[in-house]
Amino acid sequence: MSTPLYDEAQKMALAIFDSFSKTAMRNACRSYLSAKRKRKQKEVVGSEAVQYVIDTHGETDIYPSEHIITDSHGHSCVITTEWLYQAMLQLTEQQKEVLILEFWYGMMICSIAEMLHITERTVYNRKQSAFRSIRKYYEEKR
Amino acid sequence: MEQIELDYETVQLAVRGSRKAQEKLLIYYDRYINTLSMVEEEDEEGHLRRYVDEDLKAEIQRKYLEAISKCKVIK
Repeated sequence: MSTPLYDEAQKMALAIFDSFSKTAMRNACRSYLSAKRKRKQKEVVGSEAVQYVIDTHGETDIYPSEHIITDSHGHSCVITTEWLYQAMLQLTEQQKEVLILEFWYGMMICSIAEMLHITERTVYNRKQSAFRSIRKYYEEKR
Repeated sequence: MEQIELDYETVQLAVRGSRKAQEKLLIYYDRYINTLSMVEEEDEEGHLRRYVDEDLKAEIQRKYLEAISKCKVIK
């Protein structure tokens, strides 16, 4: 059987519990919102990191309307400047092929020689004569 | 939702770990938790939108249930 004093004590305990509950919930709310704000700040840092990757590893798309394609013996390359395209037209098929394989396909001279069944010296000579022709064309047009 | 009364026995059971009593406490404090979880956002047309952030509400409830057993006033 409860006494008035006991009831008072319970009422007091309930009031304290109510205050305790509300404080716990407010704290939970604050820490959630604070964590959310921090996550948002990190997201900004994250987007900077993404931008860094794009800047350092990104490639620019080349659209068909902005470039000229030339090929030699089935090896094609994309040229973005008109004068270089015109200069490439002056070259023999063999010279063009060596340039495409080295500068557009990124092959080593020894690999090109092996692929075309010629000596490395021949590859080198073709490349040098191609350079001379291109330089001559460029100087004449300038 | 109808407001229920908070009695000493329920609180005592909740502090001792009774799931049913803890659920009762969550119902009792539901309005208060909703108020804390209320978020205001402006939409694209500039209208202010108020809604209960359900993630925040769940987090408050979770943390509150953890805290209940630590209350030393109820024995």
